[in-house]
Amino acid sequence: MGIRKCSTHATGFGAVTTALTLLFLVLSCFWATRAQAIAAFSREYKTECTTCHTIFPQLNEFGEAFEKNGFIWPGAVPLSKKVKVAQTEEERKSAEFIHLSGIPATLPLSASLGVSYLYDDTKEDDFDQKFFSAQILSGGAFGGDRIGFWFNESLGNQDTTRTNSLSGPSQVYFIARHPLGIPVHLKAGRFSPDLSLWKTSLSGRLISMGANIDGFTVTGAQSGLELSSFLGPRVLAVVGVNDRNNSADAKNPHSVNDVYGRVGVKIGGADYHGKEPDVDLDKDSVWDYLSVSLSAFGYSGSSSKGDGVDHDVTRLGLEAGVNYKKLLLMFGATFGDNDQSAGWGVAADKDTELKSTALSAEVNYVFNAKYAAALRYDYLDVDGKDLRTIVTPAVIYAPLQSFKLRLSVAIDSNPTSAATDKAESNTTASLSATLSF
Amino acid sequence: MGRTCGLKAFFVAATLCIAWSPLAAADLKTVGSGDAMNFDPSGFRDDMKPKFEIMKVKCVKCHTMERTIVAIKTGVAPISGQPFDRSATKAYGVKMLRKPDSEMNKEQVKAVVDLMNYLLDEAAR
Repeated sequence: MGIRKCSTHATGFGAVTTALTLLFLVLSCFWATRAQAIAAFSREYKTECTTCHTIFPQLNEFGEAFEKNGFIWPGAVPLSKKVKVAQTEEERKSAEFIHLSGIPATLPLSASLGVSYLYDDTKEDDFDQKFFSAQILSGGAFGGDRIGFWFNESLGNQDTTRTNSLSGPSQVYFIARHPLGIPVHLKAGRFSPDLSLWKTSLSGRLISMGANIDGFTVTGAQSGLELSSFLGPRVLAVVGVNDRNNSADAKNPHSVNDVYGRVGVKIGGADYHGKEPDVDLDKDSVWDYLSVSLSAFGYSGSSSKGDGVDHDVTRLGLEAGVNYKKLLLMFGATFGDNDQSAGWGVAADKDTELKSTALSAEVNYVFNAKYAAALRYDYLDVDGKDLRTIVTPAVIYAPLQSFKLRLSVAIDSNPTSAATDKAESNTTASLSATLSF
Repeated sequence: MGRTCGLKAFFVAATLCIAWSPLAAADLKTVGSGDAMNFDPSGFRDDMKPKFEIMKVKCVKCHTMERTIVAIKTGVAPISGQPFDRSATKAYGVKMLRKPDSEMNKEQVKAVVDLMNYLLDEAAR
């Protein structure tokens, strides 16, 4: 019975996913102004993906400035006022109703489709691991560029290594830019807290930011409010509060408010408004190409086991990034403390403090818009035990700006037996194809 | 009589100049259209022609030349809507210098910035 139910669900889900995928493919033919597959921001601003990305989804300096300014082109004439600078008769005709309606110039929808083939040396059938995913994304600005917005949701994924299931929900939020004339951006909705210099890297996410300790990770999307402010062109301050269910027991949810903050500083390179540095074209300087980003964050929250008793959870983190020409070095360290927490082989008693250290280093090298390579090292130490070290080399080939292939290998010292001291190394490899349009 | 002739000649010349001016502003010659649009360098000053050789190879590596032509002819950057003036040409030059896959060195960027400034002046004449 249970099998039949699951099968029915999977079939229905598959049909829905297929129908939606076909729908998006068909619609994208009408949305795209050119034959190239491009995403929502690219369509809206009529510019190529590499304006904001090295190889998607990794952001370059300008992409970071765009994102930090609430999905507004830094310093640009508001899109909704582009009637004043319309270049063609068609633009002039369309610009007026867009301006009056306060809507984005194009339907801001994108989709991302992924297919991965996995190798896992611990599985009986090493190569019989497949992963399919589909996601829709939307983002942009409206109302004279005073409000930015973001939405992404998984249409579902099929992971044949596990039970078929829907993933998500993901993120939905608005960003009020300078509300009431106050020089802050106010983000409201469901989102992942802005605690890191990087949304992602070429090889995924650093474990220093995404580590899940005793069921808690700071990167999880939660309902919340977040204020961010530029303290000058090169300093960014973020404070936020989120409203989350901290209970590990699904039957006994417990709503709490966590608080967090971050300060980021950028030295060299384009500033947080996307303004390029003042380079002397007649004289060489190391700062022509060098930029250094530093960030520190703190997070204070709680967890519970469903008994209504909150146990403090804190995280303190540091990050540094060094970018020189085609080379990006990323370093991250997060120090955590989960009070009175069970799990990871630790008994839940009054004196228990689960201390954790997550360290990551990654080097990215972008040869050109088509080829890139990455090497990441992650180290996770929970409760004084060296639980995991993961080395992840990856190569990326993007024949189109919207399509990429990535081959990565993860050599994990001890991925499954976190509760024991026994090291069980595991090597997984993944070849994935992703199309974003 | 001679004075009248002189005045006539002046008015004729002035009228021609006035009539010619708007044409001159729009007379930054281009060839092709759409994605294939490019500058016609035949009327460029001699010292700008080698700089155009750099521009025509490097700029089209990532975008069409039409984008540059529209910016220079209208004085407005087509994507951002910001003014495209001398400070903008320098900023875009620096941006391209620092863009990882532009493969442009300072000398090449300087040449292209000089050329864009020259073209802006020509477009404004």
